[in-house]
Amino acid sequence: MAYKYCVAENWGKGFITHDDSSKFQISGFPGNVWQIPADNQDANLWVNKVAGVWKTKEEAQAIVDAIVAQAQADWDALPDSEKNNPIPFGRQRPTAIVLE
Amino acid sequence: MTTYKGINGFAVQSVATDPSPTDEGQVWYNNASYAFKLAAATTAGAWASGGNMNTARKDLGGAGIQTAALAFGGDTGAVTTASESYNGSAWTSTPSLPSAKYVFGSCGTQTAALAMGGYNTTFLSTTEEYNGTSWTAGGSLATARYGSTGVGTESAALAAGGQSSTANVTATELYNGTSWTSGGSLATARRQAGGAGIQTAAAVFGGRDDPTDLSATEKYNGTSWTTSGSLNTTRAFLGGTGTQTAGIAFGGATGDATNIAATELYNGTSWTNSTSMTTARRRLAGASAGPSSLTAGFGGITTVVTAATEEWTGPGSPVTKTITTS
Repeated sequence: MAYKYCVAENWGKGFITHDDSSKFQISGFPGNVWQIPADNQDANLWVNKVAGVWKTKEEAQAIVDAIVAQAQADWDALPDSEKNNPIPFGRQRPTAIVLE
Repeated sequence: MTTYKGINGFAVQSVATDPSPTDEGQVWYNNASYAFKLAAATTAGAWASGGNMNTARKDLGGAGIQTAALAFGGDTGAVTTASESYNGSAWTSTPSLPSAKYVFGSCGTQTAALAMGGYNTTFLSTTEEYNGTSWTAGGSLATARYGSTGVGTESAALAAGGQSSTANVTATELYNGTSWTSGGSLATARRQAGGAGIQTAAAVFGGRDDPTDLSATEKYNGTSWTTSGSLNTTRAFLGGTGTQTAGIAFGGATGDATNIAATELYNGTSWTNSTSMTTARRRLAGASAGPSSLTAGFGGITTVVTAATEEWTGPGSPVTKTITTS
């Protein structure tokens, strides 16, 4: 399936409604990046509703990459005692996300 | 000319905000958005955005239902005591836990919640009870642990599995509102699994028996656990709510790194894939006391900790649609 991308801040209630998500698949990524199906009128109307700013796939990927890179840098800066903590509490190094 | 009032005996209501809950077939006019709207039955379940929590966090506790939920404790980057309540639209700060903790079992309602065990520099056996006004200390677990799965009510709760200071555990403990007693042991030791049901009819699914993520479901009858069905998507760190015969699993991760958005529905025997969450996340909480058809998932971690809430409406439940001419 082909996708399009936008950036929009999730303000909470009403940002995505059941009506929206029952009409088309919306997938969220770091950096307020949202993936929607291409050539879908309902999806286009949703982007308009949330005042989304259209991004190319490359632009969207760059936004996601920047967030992941910062999270990885934060993790890398942890002392080894935390990185090697035998009790894994979610301190795993953040992994890359590749947009479809 | 046939009119709506002529058919139904009453006129379409004009309101500023959409009513909630609604009945299937209900029609109204939203005078803020200038749109006629209809409560139509869904053919499949769907997630929608809810209000954002005031404090983004992961590994938190959750209780209540979609329109009356409670979030407490967790990890914001630092372990927190923060507690907040949800009314179906917005979160409001409520009295804090007496001490910070995260990765603990939780259950109950917005006005009668329970936080069991957890971790904060050491493995905890402490239990805290909330009465809608304040938190107080409850009886202590026999086995200090983090990552147990909590189901039931404040006065009839169950804590299953988790990780002690030495290993993942199979231990189940039962709470009567005052003290914990031993119950039957899980077949498979596991931590950070999903859970649904009540003390005498519970289900635990997924989770991790280090280093392996699990898919198996176990059901409890008040005395012993039996294996019954497996999640289609193996995962730990997931959300789970509902009942033993109508459960829901959402979110989670494999390897505590690859987030999952998938939603699955349980009928007491097997799991069926349904509509995914809009944002994949792990280490989230769910409003655990409600039916699986009206669930909320909140908090967790995507790449960063999140405050986002998503509200699930199950298959067949009314959802609001805008009436158009097309």
